[in-house]
Amino acid sequence: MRLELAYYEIRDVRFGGATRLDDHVLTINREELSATLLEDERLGGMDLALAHPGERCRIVHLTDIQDARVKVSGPGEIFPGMVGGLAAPVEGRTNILRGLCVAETAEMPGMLESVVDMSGPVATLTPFSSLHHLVLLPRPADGVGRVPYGHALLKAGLRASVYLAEASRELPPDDLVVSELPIPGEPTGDGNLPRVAYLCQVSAIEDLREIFLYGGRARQMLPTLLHPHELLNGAIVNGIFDTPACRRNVTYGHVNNPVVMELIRRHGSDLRFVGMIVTPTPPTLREKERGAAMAAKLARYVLGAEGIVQTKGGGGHMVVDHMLACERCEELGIKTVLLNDRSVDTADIYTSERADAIICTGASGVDQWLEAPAMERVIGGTTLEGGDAREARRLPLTRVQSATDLLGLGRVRAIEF
Amino acid sequence: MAKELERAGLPTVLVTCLTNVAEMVGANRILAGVAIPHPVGDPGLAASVEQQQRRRLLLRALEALTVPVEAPRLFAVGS
Repeated sequence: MRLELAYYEIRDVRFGGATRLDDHVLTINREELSATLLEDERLGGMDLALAHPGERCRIVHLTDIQDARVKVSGPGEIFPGMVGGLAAPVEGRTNILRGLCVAETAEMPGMLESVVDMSGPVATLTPFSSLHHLVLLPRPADGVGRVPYGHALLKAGLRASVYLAEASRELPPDDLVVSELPIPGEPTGDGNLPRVAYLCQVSAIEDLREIFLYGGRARQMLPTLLHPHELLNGAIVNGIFDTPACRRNVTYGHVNNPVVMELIRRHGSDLRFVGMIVTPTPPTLREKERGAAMAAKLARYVLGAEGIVQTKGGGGHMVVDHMLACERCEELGIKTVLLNDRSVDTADIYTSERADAIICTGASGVDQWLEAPAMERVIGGTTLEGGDAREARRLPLTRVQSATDLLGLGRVRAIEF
Repeated sequence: MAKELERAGLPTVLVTCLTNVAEMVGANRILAGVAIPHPVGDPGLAASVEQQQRRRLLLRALEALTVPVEAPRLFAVGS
C-alpha cells in the first residue's frame, strides 16, 4: 500500500481575487469560501480572518485545528464519512499545504478554553504559533442548538481545509514523503524485524465529547483496525469541545500523528509497522474492560504485534482505559510503551505495575501559570477566562492549545534528571 | 474526599462507576454506579423506571453505611 504525501510550503497567506497558490503564497477568495461554507443550513454566518506567525495576535475560543489537505489520486477521498465518500483512502497521493492551518472558533456554553498566541512567551509553547491561520468565525442559524451547531462547525473546518488544498492540485510539490506499508498478513521478507503496532485511544463519551471515525460517532464503536494511511487521510476527526486545550487532540494532530509518522519512517529499517488500532473510552467500567481486552486481542492475534505504542485520547478517566489496555497487552506478551501527560510528581488516579515504560509528553496536570502579554488584536472573541482577552494576564498552561500534547505534537516534554 | 470524611468519623459511601479507581485510591465503601456522565441515573431508561433504579441505588448506599468495613469493599445493587 503506497501513499504519497506531497507537501507544498506556504510562506504567506492573503485574501484576494481568485483562490490560487503562486510561488508559495496562498491567495484566498474570501467571499467564495465563505459562501461555500454557508451552504450548510445550520450556519447563519461565517466570517473569516487571517493570523500570521510573529503577529501580536491572540486566537481564543478554538474548537479544532486542521491543516489543508486533499486527496488528488487513488481510491477514496480526504476526511471520509465527514466531507468525503466512504471508500477507504489508503493508496494514492495526498496534497498537504505545510505552514498553514484552518482554525475554528466558537462561543458556546460548556466549552473549555483553547488559546493560541502568535507571538510572545506563550507562543513559544504551542506548535501552532509557527503556522499561518485561516480562522473561522461562525454563528449558528436561528434555532440551531449547541450540538448540531458544533457538528456544522467541524464540517465547515474540513470543507475549508479541502477548499484551500485544492489550489495545489495541478502544481509540483516542494517535498514528497512516500509511505509503503504492507497488508499485515502479507510476507515481506523482513521477518526478523520486531512487529510494532500503534494503539490510538480516542475520546468517546457523549455529544461534543467524542471523535468521529469515518463520520460515525466514537461512542458507538468497539476497538477496530485502521490502516495508518486512513488516519493520515482524515479517517479520525476531532469533535471534542470541552477538554482542556492541552489534552485535546485536534484533527491536525491526527492527520500529522507524530507516532504514526515516526513508525512509517522506521518501517523496514529497525521495525515492521504492522498497523494501528483505534480504541474508544466508553463511560462505564464494563465497557472499558471489554475495550482493553479487544484491543489487546486485535494487536496480538490479528496484527501479530510484539510491541505496541499507546497514546491517550484525553484526560481524567481515560487513564483507566490506557492502563487496562497496557495490562491486557502485556499479559499477551506484547511489550507496551505509553505516552502520557503525567510526570513523576503528579500521580495518576489509576496506575498499573505493568506500565513500566512511559514517555511523558508534558505534564498537563500540574498547575503551571504563564504570563501572557497584552496583544494588539484578538480573534475568535473578546473575553478570555472572564477578562479582556487583549490585556496582559496570567493564564494556565492547560488553556494553551497543544502546549502539552497527548500525541506528541507539542514542544515540551518532561525528563528525569 | 471519602477517605477524609471517614477519617473525620463520618461513615461514607462512594458511588462511582469507576470502582477500580476508588479501590486503588482506598475508599472504604464503594458502590457501583451507572456511568461517568451520569453516575446515579440512566437517561436511557423511562423516567418511572429510572426513578426506581435511583431509589434502589440510594437504599443500597444507606445499607452499606451500616456495614462495618476495615478495607475497601465493593457493594452493588443486589449484592
